[in-house]
Amino acid sequence: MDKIRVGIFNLSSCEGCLVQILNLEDILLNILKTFEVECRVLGTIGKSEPYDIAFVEGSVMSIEDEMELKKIRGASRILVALGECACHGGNFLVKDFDVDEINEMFPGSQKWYSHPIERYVRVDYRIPGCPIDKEEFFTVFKSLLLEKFPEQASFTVCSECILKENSCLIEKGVACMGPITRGGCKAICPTFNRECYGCRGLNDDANIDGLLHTFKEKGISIQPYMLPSKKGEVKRS
Amino acid sequence: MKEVVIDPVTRIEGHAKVTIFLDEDDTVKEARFHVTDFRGFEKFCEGRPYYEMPSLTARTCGICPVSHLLASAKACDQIASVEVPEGGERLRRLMHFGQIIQSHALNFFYLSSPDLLLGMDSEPSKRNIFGLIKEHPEFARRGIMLRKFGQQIIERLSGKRIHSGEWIVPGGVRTPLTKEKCEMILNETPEALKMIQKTLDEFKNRIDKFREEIENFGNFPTYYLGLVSKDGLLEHYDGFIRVVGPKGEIVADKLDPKKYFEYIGEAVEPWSYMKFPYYKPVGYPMGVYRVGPLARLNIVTKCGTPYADKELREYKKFGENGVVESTFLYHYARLIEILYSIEKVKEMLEDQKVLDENVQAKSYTCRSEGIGVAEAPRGTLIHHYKVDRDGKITWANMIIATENNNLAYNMAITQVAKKYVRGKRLTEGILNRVEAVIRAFDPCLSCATHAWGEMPLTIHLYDHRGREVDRLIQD
Repeated sequence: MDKIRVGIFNLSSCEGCLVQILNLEDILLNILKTFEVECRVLGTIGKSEPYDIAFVEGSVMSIEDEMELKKIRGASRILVALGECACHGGNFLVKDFDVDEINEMFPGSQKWYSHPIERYVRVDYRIPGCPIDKEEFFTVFKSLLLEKFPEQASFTVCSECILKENSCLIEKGVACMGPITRGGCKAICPTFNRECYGCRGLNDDANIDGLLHTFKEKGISIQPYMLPSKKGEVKRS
Repeated sequence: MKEVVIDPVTRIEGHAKVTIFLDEDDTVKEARFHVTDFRGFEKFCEGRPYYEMPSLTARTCGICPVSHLLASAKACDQIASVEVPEGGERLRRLMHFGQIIQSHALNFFYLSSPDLLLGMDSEPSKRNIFGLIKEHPEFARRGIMLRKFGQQIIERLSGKRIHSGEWIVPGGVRTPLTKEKCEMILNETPEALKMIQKTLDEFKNRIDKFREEIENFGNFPTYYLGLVSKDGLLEHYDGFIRVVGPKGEIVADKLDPKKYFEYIGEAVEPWSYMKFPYYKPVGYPMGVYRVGPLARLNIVTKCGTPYADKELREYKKFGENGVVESTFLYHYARLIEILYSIEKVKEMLEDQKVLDENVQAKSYTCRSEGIGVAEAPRGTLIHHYKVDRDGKITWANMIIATENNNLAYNMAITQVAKKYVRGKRLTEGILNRVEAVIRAFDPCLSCATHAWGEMPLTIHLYDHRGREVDRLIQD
């Protein structure tokens, strides 16, 4: 039987999600031995199209990114969006920086707003988080090999945080996005006393108005840039 | 003039392209390294509150996020006008050592060693980490374990291996180190020490095989710039900027990192998105300087830990006047820095002070400007912010470690191309040598493209009339 072919690609990104895959130290050797892995950073490229599974990290920020992404989609059976940038457009979305200004500074840069890859191609599965959780990646990877698509976590960061018996940051007057953000990260930020900022995107039944109401009740001030509504919502110049 | 382009460059962090220009008689005139992506970090940070900056700018790079966190947090410390408690500073340093170990190990074991162990001209489809695992399983495993040691220091301190912006914050760090975790790391240090010493010994035993590379891979005089401690020892977190000249003479010392703009100029060339920093008193482009492991070991006379100092003395034999010139020896310097970092980790953890619970000072916005400087694995990293009265960023500038070496990249690839490119035909082996010299610098292009763009590596060969005569694409 042929080896299963896996492609790992990065568009505009910090490559942190790729590093998270490398962080699977103990099982990494086995993965690399068992599958045919194609990845530019590791110096194994261009040999193994088509791919059974393609993991795409990073967001689309240029026409080159778009072309590369479409080529990957055309060559892959299953395409997985890896991390916050690929799933939601990444932290570039914190501000819609002025594209015209940048094009003036660097003529011909043809840069757009940062876009999630789903805007351009069909995405079969998403692994959210900034960066991704390596155990979650491995679980999903194993499931995909069995042709199964595991369900996305339906609980919030808040639920995991409560299970960890952390004291609530909202109670302390901090604007934490835990109640509306999709869980699965083991509530790592609140555990280290830092508010959740929603890197995993909105949970399915996120009650944004409810959270805003709570913030108001607690007297927590909200700046416009803190609202999560921009996640996943994209504009193109 | 003829031109050759390598696109994309592989086994580097980021996307890049190389162009080689030929003279009328087909000899190499010049080679250029292009960065072709653009990510706009400095722009989108505008309008954000300053205390978010460490967490935001960490996303510049998934390989060295801790360095960005540190430079950024140090800039924010100034804006908040706060002095970081000793306990907090100690833990910041500890985490940074973890970062240096893992980042250097990534470059050496995963990206560069396939060239060193399998050979520059070996079969390209096998000349990568997979080939390495097959041919040298014990060596590959050692690389994985050393990276793990570094990454676990970061994880144990902050709960997260990448983008630990929840932990390093303006004023210090969020949580102290627990005794239990301190012991866990401490127990792993002897093994890590053994692994790096073994790797260093192997490297030294093979170094004679690389005479040609040492001679030709970016072997030229430049200035060297980096931080040193107040006693002139190796330093990665704080201290003063020292500049050492091509003959090993200290041309400037005890420079205030906060006044970087007085001695570092930034030039722009139309063919690259990456800026060209240079040493101002000498001018552009003569003021070419290098940063990173090679430069750091060139500007210090001692590291400050016993094993690393012993290695340093041996290493300096490859240079004159205490200055090692060959870019190829970045690899050697990188290994010594891993050794130094592990020794420092051990030294810090053996001191009970590391458990100090006083780790964060709190304050409000006081100043309108802050500049943070740290030595990232790849060299001197500068974050510079200005804020308004509400503490929102109005202007940001980042000089990334990788950018500092930009002039030197072009000199190095020109040297390699001159040595190996003959006539109009390109071979894979030539291409790989050009890439290998870039790998030796360990450029991190995710970082370098914080504002600029992405780059896989292709070589284009153009003739003197500007016609493309050959092209080699890495695929």
